[in-house]
Amino acid sequence: MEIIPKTGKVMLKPVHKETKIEMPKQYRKKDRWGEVVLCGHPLPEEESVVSVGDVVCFNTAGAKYTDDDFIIIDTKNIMLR
Amino acid sequence: MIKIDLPNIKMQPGKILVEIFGQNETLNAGDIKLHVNVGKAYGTSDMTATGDGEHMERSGKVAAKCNRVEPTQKYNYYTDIDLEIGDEVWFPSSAYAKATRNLGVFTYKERQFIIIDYHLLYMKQNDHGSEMINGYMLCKSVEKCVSNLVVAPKDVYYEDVFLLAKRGKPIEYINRYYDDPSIKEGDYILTRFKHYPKLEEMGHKYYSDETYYVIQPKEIVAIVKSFK
Repeated sequence: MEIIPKTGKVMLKPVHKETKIEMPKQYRKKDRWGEVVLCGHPLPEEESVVSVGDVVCFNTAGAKYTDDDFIIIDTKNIMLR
Repeated sequence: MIKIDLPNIKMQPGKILVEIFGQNETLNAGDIKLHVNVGKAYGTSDMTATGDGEHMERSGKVAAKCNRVEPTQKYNYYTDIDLEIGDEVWFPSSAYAKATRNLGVFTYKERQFIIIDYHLLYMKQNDHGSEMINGYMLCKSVEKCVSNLVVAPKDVYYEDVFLLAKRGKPIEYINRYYDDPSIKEGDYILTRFKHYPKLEEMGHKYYSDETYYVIQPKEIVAIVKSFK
């Protein structure tokens, strides 16, 4: 299935490896990290916050897990990249 | 039941008086009409599509309307009054359940009315046709192509992909959600969840014989460009 994330959302591929960056404890959980594979348009009056290839740490609130193991999240839920 | 004086009624902001006709007291099974208990199920059951509220009223006619809607924390989007007295309106069965449980059914000259929040109305229909209100979208299930065989397995549908059949004016959410105006009728949408309320249940279809689901724009996560 070929999809395009809605405006203000990005599609991530889960990152299943431990990050080497030293992060506070709450950011270390594996399923909260992902690599951006597709970006929807940025929200009006907002700049694009990430681009394809970025590895981001995100809040799982409102995340959609697709059948082919991708995650679609709001860009507002990206905590750091 | 409380008797009301319909000609002099004035609605509070955000409230609509809807006349109901007891349509769902009978179940249409082909040419046969079966009697059902409409008001026996309570709760927001149609939100989970379990069907517990399947016989509850889902439509009625606007008898009185408010002039404005005030922003409220109860609903997370802004909306404007976009209907006229006499329009037919559709709403969730949970709205009917709540209205009858909290305030009861009002009567005026043998006619029955309930009070519903304007924010809860899905769709209106009048002489000019039907139109979605409050940003709601009318969607259909999408069938999977599972086999090219003449004798194919039972119909299989995508659980979280819908065809957007009808949408109204975009709405503005108060908080983090966004209604993307570029999403248009005919688009295939990927939704956050798999179960959404139906516009009308089997045996109680008055708008269309097809099964339509009612989805808010905030539930859309992506547009499906191809199914390969």
